Amino acid sequence: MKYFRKKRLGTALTVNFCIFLFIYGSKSLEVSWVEVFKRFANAADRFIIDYLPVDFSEFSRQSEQLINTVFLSIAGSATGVILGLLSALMISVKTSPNRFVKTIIRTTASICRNIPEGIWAIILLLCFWFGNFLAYLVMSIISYGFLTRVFADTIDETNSDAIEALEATGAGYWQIIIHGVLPETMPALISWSLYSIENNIRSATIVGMLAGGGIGYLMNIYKGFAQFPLMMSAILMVTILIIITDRVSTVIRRRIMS
Amino acid sequence: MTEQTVLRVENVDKIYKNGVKALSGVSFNVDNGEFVSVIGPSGSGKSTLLRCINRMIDASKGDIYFIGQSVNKADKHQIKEIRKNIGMIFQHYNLVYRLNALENVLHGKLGSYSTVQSALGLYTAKDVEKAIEILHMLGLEERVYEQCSNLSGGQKQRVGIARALIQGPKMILCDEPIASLDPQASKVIMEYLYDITRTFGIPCLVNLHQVEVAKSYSDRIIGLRNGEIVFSGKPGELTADMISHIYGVSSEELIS
Repeated sequence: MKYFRKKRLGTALTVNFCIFLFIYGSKSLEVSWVEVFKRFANAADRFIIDYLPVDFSEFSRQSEQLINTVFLSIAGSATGVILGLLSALMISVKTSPNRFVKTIIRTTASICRNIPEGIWAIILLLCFWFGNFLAYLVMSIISYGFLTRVFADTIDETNSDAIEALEATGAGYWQIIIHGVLPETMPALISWSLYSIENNIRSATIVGMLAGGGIGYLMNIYKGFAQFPLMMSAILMVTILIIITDRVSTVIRRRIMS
Repeated sequence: MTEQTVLRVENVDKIYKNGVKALSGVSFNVDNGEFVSVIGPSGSGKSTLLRCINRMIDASKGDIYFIGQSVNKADKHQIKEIRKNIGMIFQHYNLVYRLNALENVLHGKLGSYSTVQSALGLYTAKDVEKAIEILHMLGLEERVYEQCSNLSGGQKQRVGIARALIQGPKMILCDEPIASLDPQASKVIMEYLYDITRTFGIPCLVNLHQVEVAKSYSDRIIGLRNGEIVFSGKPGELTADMISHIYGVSSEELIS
């Protein structure tokens, strides 16, 4: 059968191509897989010696910073929600009042979104210096970029029927937004906002390390003083926090959407 | 033109940007208390015609006068005033389904409130009472606080009618009001629309697909074909020949 022979040939080519990429990549990065396996025991040893036993002696200080991280993440998202919603209204095809405004805001949001949080922290470090405010600012920027995009998509996807009906009754622009667009999109908007908080908490460590503030800031100090057992306890706490927020927000989102 | 004339459409053309000519040289009047149906095949321009009347779509040529006021020359503020006086009912009901029936009805009054007032839900007690009264009148007294997504098609359309009625409209436009409903619900909706015209004297301009329905309820029927009026007269004057002329096929090929 010609069809199946063609299909087999395609699969074989794809697999070979992937193997080629792997080998070529390892070669060019000078990764020696033999060495990696040979020294694996060594690496595990180092891990055990350096990180264990986990040191919980700074638990109260760490939990304080962990709570700080949560607040920073929520504050960043809240700022992102408010500015993102306004921006989304300005750029959605359904609600955009003006093409010029649309282009400007779309570009701004796109820049905010496409520069990773680590880079934002480094760029803004020069202007605002280390600390909670900078961490908050970075999280606001990435939340804003992300939420503007998904909010605009959500509004694009709403049914325009209700918008048409409200327009026909003589309602004004903001009335149509408040009474038509927002109620229709509310579950999705809330769901995305929660997702953004989740995302912020996930990136809080790296933002904290680079920008200061929260548990990431503490981890940076531990790293500087080579206090790895303390670092390990902080990592464990962050991981647990991320898992909890992930679960909670998934449950809430599922409930809102149904 | 008499004092009775609510709507005067004069030589209206509509050419869409893509070059499609949706309406050409359409002229007719609608008087107070009149129930007028517009029939015609899909794409004959019925929806476009209706939407030109409240400027949801801009007519390309000609003019429309609503209670003596030019619709095409109206500025933004005047358009809002015109829209406040025209109720509109849609095929797909066009409700905000996550809100309840009462809130949807009150949307008909948004034009009379400031943005801040309406955002805070500061509807006057009078309007709320009136909304509830209209819902009662339309047999929805048990559904006042029901979220609209939980209503049946016929009930949704009644909420749509209530939203139009609370405007205190001088005219009602209906775009295929029964095209998405089962026969029984269709009958209920047509009866309500007919009663509204008879009881309150509010003229209704209704786009319809069902020729028989148009015949049994209308005072006058307008037949549209390729954007032109090819028939205008009493239901009795709508012969089988005329129907096939409007639809471009013999009337045996149509389900009435």
